[in-house]
Amino acid sequence: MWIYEKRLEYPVSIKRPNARLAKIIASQFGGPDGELSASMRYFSQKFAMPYRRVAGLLNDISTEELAHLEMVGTIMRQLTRNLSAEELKEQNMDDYYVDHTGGVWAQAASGMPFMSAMFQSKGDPIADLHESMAAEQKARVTYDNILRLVDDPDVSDPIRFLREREIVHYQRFGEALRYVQEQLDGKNFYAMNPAFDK
Amino acid sequence: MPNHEMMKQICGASFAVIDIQLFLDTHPASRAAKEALNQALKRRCEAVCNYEAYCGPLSVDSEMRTSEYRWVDTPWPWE
Repeated sequence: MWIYEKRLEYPVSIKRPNARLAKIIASQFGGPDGELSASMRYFSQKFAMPYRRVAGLLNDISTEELAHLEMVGTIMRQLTRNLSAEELKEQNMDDYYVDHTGGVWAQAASGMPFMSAMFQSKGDPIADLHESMAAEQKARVTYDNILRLVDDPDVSDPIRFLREREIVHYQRFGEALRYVQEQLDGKNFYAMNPAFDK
Repeated sequence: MPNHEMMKQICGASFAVIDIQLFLDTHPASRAAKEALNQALKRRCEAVCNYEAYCGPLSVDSEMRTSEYRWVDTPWPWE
């Protein structure tokens, strides 16, 4: 269960519209390594996770990723609001505009729509935690790539915050993986799947 | 109307809660982290109370403060 709190996790206040940038940052909303994909990955993985503290971590990081999704949606909206159709065309956003006008929709920068094939829930703690650690690194790289294209501090400041959170989450998932391995047969971590085998 | 300084207090304390909570998920026996969580929760609680008294509801829970429905009167955070 969730109760909504009427605030962003970290403030976003963008004064200069930039549709070109919005289209790139959209990838962190609905792209393969974006926040929606991250949140749904951990949310899905938590159900079969047999260790309570690791399930808790998946639950809590999944929750924080939803707050990040809201920040990215806010960045997209603030970068495109009040732009005319002509301005959107000049900034190469006419193809997005024709389908979504000024709305925020989950797609990658390439236009690929969001889909659950972007992430895995394998039902095996070691596989799922490796998947989650990789997801944090991929998101970190995407933010690094975005930062090379941003020269507006109103945009780079919240993007840097989001990038730092990927690193913290990666660290926590790494600790969770170590904990899982400590619960397993030290001579063969793969002797059984604790989420499936009795 | 939202007050910038009051909101900053909430965001700061809430961020501490989130970050320490994730740390405690993987270090549940850390007494120092639990003490830090308690401090951050106390700060957050005070900041939320302070904000809601002046600026309107942060969550539906504080709707009980008033007879009017104020949830949709204050700006959304993405505005």
